[in-house]
Amino acid sequence: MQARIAFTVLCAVLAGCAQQPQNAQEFRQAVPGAFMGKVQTFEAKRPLAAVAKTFQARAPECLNVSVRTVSQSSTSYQNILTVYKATVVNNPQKAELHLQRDFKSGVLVPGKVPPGGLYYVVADATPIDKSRTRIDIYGPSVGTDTLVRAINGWATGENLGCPDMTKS
Amino acid sequence: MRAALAALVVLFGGCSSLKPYPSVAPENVVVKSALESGSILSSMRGSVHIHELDASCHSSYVGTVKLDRPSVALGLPAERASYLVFAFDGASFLGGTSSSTSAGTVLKPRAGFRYEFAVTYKDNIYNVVLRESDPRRGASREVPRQELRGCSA
Repeated sequence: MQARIAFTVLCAVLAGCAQQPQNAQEFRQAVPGAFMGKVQTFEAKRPLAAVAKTFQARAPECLNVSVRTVSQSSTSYQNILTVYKATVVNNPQKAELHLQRDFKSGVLVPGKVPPGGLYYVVADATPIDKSRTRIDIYGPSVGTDTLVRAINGWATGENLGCPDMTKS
Repeated sequence: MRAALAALVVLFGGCSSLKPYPSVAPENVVVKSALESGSILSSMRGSVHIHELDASCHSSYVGTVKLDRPSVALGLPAERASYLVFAFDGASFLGGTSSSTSAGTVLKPRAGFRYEFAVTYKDNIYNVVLRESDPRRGASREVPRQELRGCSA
């Protein structure tokens, strides 16, 4: 995880992101053109209301977590505390899941950190028709596999488990 | 170096403060677990840390049950709130990396009822599902996890 965190911060610096996205919309705009940014899209065969309900139920429970990661070798010791904050915004036309992360120790972050932490992943659910929903996930292209699978599971209703955020 | 050593002492000191959860009758809770690390180069261990809650929802650590068998039974005091923290502790054999994630829930068992936790960890996704059953009526229902923040012991 330390490598991923360092990599994420390095990417932000190299991409000229010293001005960090301060809200979800800025994050959406920044990701497609960012170095190692990625937008993933998939379809859930459930209506938007069902997807939104699952986001509302699972995201706070699963994603409002603190993760402490300890790594040690004969020459080094790292102790990183990361606090994640999930926000779900639902309206009749769209459901949004915002995930921010705040490094409380062990990581130096360049630029201004928005309240709640750096935007890490934003997932938008919009209706395709009455029974299908499109999911767009904005985030880094590496290190979010588990998180994306979990969001996919919530959207489809096939797996309501929580992602192990020590692996994200 | 001193800071690292101090942190290590605290880390390992914290581990040694764990103690087995005492046997409480009746055994009204069963924890069924299926945990997979997903790699031969890493391990995943599960455990439940049990805290008792007072009327103000202040927690007091009582003990820990290791989830080292597919099914583990334990007893929680009926009509009293307990806070159960399911911990998933991963360790990588390469690089000396360890990590821990957890999910907690408040449970106030009703007298005469039985509770079953289904705990899974697979492909880095975990789930803790609680069901309450009434052996007298044969009825059961899923109980949502209750966070400590919303506690009303």
